[in-house]
Amino acid sequence: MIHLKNYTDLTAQEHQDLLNIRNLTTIRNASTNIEEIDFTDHIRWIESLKTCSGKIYYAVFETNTLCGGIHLIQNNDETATWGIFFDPNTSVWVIASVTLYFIDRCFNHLGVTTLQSHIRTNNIPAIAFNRQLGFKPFCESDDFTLMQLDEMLWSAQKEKKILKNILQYATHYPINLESL
Amino acid sequence: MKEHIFEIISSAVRDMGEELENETLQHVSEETKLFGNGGALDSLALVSLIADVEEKIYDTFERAIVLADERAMSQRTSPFRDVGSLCNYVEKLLND
Repeated sequence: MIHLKNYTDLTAQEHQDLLNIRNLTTIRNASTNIEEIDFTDHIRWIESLKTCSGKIYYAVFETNTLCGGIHLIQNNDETATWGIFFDPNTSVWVIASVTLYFIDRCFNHLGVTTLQSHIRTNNIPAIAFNRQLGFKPFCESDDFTLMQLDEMLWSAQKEKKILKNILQYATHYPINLESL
Repeated sequence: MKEHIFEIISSAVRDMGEELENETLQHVSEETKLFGNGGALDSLALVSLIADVEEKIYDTFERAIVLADERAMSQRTSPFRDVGSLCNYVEKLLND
């Protein structure tokens, strides 16, 4: 069973579990902020999220174990940036189903028309992963590659064999969204 | 049984190779690497392949198996590393 829980509703232990994953070297090095985040700073940031409507952060649980995070930041009325991270031992099935569920939700329930990814240019697997989802690069530098996916392209991408298979399979395993 | 399983997996891998425009996946053997070190599939393609194989196994053997469960993920040696290991894993699940 997979469920998503808003960061603002996590318990202290769950925040610590989340930070333990986020502070892994491999994950930090792929993040915009590569520094380790300490617990106090993290909780201060969580407090700021409670009054910020343009940012949605969910922790991902698989059978009650916290295994990652996924987020959406509204850039303006139509464009938003998303990102994910997972414990390296997370099953590919969880990563795939959560990703597709979240992106589909962004376009179909959260009013996003263009979704962007900010990826470190040396993070080749993440760029390939985004390409597989239909994202196209629109701005590249030595440090970051910016990719984007619009609603129409997402609809077309969902009809391709790879995503269609996953979405079909995912109907047997609904994702529980605990809160907005 | 093993030959049937190999045929099912080969067919699913070839379909995936066509989708990904990956020549390596068009010529399937037991040694064809799927996922992990040197594997031709990323996580999305692997999950898609798993869904395809499960469906084809059900159509052929009338048995529902779950390939991407915790047992598979927790195995020290991944059953998804190559076609041969996936065949063995499917056979094991069908015999359980």
